[in-house]
Amino acid sequence: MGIIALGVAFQVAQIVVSVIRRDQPAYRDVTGDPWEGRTLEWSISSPPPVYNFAHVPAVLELDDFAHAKETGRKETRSFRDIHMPSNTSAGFFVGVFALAFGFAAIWHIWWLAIAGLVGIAAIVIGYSFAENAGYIIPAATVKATEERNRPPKSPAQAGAAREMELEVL
Amino acid sequence: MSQSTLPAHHAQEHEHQPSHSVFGFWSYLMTDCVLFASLFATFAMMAQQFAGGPTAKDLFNLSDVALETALLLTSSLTFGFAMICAQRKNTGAVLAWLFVTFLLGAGFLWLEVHEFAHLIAEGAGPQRSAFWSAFFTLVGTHGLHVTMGLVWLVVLAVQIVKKPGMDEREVRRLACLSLFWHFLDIVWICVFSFVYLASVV
Repeated sequence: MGIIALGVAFQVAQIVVSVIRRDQPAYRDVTGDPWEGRTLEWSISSPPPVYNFAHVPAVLELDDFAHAKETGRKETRSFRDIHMPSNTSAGFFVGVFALAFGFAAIWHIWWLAIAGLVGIAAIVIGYSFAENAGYIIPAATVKATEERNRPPKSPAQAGAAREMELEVL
Repeated sequence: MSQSTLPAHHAQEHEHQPSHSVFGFWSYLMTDCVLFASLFATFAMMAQQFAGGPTAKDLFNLSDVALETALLLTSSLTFGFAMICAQRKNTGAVLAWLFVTFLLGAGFLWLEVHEFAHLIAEGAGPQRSAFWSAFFTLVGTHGLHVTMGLVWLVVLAVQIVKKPGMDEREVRRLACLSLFWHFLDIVWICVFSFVYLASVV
């Protein structure tokens, strides 16, 4: 019990400290890959851009991102316009009604269960009427976003430098 | 981040890949197949478990079920006609065939609800025995699918009325519903064969 409480306290403390010190250089991740990750999610910049991946990743090896770093393989494709889907709040409201439905189904509150189901159906049907044409992020913006978060680095050094920074802390 | 909202036609020209909706819908249908397969397996296990209550032979009325089958099979045919008209961009005919399909589907459901009410009135509700539990779960799930299909059909008909050009999006959605409708038809043929005919023989 006490140990669990301690764990909770440290988790809260960790979030508080992270928020307070968020602007200090040692706490900022500008590479997108602070821990020498091996998998593709570490290959995108930080904070993750809305389009996630500038190119659809071409996976040639197991743990392709690690392999690319080890062999110095670089992305050579040029940046292209990215067609994004339209923003929508439909998913959020489906979630709200699904919560109401789940609660009502557990506690046998039938009027609320029906209201939840009808709400979900109404939102899904309403959403199907939307144009959902999306928008374009121009290639120049993509390029700027990718380069802003990617100071040129050789990965091994960045890892070592990162450890130095953490030790200084 | 600079961004611009697009008119729909521009977005379609720009899209690098064709829509994957129809493939995704096939995947959904395969999962639905698994659902029905497990319900059929359950029914097969319970086929003789009447717990001393009314049996299938006592209560099934094959001529009503045959009429239900005829309505549903015909509705698949009329949906096929709607799809042909959709390919030819004949909006009026599409709506007319969808309307006929809706009537046939609604007629099927009306007969099914009637049948369920009759069974429950005869004391063969889902609580009576394992057989009737399995029967109502399997046939009821199929009926629920048909109900959803009818709601979907009305939604698509309204969208076609609002945007009568039979564009790619409308035809694609109609194609998905068409797959769904034919799928329900195939499931019903299995219901008719394995549930009704097999229980009476």
